[in-house]
Amino acid sequence: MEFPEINIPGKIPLPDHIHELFAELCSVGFFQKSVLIGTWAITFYRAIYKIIPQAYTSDIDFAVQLAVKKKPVVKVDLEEVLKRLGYVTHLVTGGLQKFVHLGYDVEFLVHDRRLKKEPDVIKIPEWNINAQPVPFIRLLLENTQKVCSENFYIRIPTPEAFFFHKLIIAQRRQREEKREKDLRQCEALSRILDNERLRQVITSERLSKDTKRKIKRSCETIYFQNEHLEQWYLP
Amino acid sequence: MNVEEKDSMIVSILMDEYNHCQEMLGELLKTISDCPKGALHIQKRTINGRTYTYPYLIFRKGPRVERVYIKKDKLPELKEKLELRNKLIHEIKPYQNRIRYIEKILGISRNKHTGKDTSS
Repeated sequence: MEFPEINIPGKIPLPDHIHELFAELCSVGFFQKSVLIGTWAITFYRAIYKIIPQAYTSDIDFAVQLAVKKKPVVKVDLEEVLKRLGYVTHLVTGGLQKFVHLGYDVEFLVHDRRLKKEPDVIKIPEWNINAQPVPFIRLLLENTQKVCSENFYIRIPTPEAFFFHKLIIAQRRQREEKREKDLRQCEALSRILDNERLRQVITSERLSKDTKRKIKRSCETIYFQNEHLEQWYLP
Repeated sequence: MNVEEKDSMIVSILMDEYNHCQEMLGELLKTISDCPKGALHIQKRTINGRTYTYPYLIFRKGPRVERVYIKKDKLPELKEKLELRNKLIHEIKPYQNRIRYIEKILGISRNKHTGKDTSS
C-alpha cells in the first residue's frame, strides 16, 4: 500500500556522500520499489514530523522487493553504481555483500519467506547484488511513502509500518542495547502515528500467537495503548 | 560538564553503533587477512634482444623481504586481491576512529595488549 508522497522543503542534513548515494540510487530507479529502512529512515521522519533527534548509525539498510518473474534480466548493476561512488565490495560469511565507504556500510535485505531451504543469502539478479533474508521485511516493503527532497526522492516505510515492525523485532533481539534502541524509536514514533494507517498495517499481516505476545510485551514496555492493537492482537 | 545520569536512549544508540563498528572491523580485518599482502613487482629481462616480463609478489616476512614468482594465469586474481586489500585497509580507519571515540564517551577502557573491554 502506498501512501501520499511528502515533499521536504530544503535540504535534509545528510553527509555529502550519503546524499550522493541516495541521489544516485534514485536516478537508477532503485526507489521505485525498494525502501530505505533502519536508523536512516528515522532521519527522514525527523525531517518530516520533527520528532526527537536521532543520531544516524553507520549501517545503511535497504529492503529490496524480489521480482516475481522467474528469470529477471539485469536492470541496473548496483555493484557497479556503488563502486563508482567509491564503495568497496566486501564479502562476509556466507557470501553476503556489504559495500563499505568512509566508515559507512550498505547492506540489502529481503523478506524471509520462511522456506525450509531458504539460503543465507538471496541473489537479486536484476540489481546484480545479493541480500540477506530477514523476517517481517514485507511489512516495510508494502506500506511505504515517497519522500521528495531537493534533488532526489526516496521511499521509506510509513511511520506506522516502521513502528509495528520495531514492536515485533525488539523482542527478537539478542542484544539488550538493540532492543532498547528499537523500543526508544517506537516510543518516539508513537506520538506521530495515524490510527487508521496503523490499523491497515496491523490487518495486512497474519501473525502467530507468539509474535502477538511479543508485540504486547513491547507495547507494555513503552506504555503504548491502541484500540486496534488490542482488538486484533491482544486477547 | 558533569552528566549525573546516562541517557538510556543515547547510550543504547552508541552501544549499538559500537557493537556494529566492532563487528564490521572484525569482518574487514578477516577479509584483509585472507588477501595476500605485499606489492607486485614486474621484472624485465632482455634475452637475445627480446624482453621478457616476470611478475613477482614482494612481501615482508619477519625481518626478511621475500619474493615469490607469480604464474601469469594467477596474475589478474592476485592484482584484484592486492587492490581489495589496499582499499579495505583504507576503509577500516573510520571504524577504528569511531570505536575509539565511543569508548571515550562511554568510558569503555580497553586492554592495550589484548584489545578486550576491561571496563566491567
